[in-house]
Amino acid sequence: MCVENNELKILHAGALRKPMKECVQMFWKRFPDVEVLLDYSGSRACARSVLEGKNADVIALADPHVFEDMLVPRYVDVFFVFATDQMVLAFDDFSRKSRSIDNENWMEVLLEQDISFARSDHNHDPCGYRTLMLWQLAEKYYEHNDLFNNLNSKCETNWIYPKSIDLCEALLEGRVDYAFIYSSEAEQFGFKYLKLPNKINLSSPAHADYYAQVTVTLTDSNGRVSLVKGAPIEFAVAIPRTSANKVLANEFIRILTSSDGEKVLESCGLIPC
Amino acid sequence: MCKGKSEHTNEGSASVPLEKLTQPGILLLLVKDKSHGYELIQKLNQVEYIDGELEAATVYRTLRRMEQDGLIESRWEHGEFGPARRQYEITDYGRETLKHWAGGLKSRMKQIETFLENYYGLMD
Repeated sequence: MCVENNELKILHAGALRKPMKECVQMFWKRFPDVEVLLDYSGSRACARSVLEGKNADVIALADPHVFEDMLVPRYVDVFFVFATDQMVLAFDDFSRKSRSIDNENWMEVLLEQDISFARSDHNHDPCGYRTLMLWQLAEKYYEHNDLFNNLNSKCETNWIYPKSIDLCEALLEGRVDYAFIYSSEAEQFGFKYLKLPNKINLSSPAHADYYAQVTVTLTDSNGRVSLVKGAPIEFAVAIPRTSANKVLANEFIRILTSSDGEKVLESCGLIPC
Repeated sequence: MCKGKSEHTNEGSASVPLEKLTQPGILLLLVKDKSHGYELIQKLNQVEYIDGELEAATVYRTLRRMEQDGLIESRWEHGEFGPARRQYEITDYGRETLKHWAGGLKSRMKQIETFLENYYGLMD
């Protein structure tokens, strides 16, 4: 039985940090006395924590596939697909070769000896497996033999961060020159970025079949292996069955998907859908 | 329901810009059946009357603007388990607007045909 209270626990993907905080501000205008607890992590790490008994009233993740793969039907019935995005290669003025990198030469630049680039961990974060998909798609698209292997072997363990938002901090602090992140994150942090071709940036349902040619193998902490197929980027939100406050959770999702919520998503660089 | 009129709808027929067929394209697809944005993007990128690739973001933004203008309506559609997506449906005002679009395009087609007849008449 669900016990209603005056507390709303939101568990969300790190990439949704800013829009979630702004939607909570809107929520507080209607429900000023509700205590909202925000917790974030990579989306797969979020789902794993729910499997391990973590309580949440709202779960917002960076990939609907994570709901399907890990939480439906035991913990979640329905998840609402509310936004889309695309992968970009982000950098700033202090990144080496930032003045000469472009859409034609980015692969060669990244493979130069003195250039560092980062991605997030594919086992914890959709942005991580989407980066590996992007590299595979780029190999096909540019007919660049061994591109995936070359990028993957160069991107050392200490350039792999738990979640995409960590990459933004690494880039900001100059720990790496380049990072594969979402366009919305690059916009929020004010980074420069290369907009990559639609056939490889995972932005468009028009290329769903092309994206589906590539897969990434994921391994969780228990050694369970699963396969994730390339697909257009989408973000989804759900109320878990175990939510102790479904009424307020519904209200929050109503705000997130309202026209005001959509304005917040747009202002954060996401595309409401 | 009629919330307002769109820029390229009920105005003079000669003002129909041929390169901007995204909105009537969406209305035409929705006359056939309800659909969600993901599916509409796939279909719009297959039709022959739209040149080049339509960005997903452009279509999603156009859908939102069309809903604000009262041309289409949306509701969340889902089964017992799995994804819920916003499903769009054409409104009466949307059907009326599509009719005006078709009329405008027909007039434009006649103008283009007349132009080509004149051109080839001089050249032949």
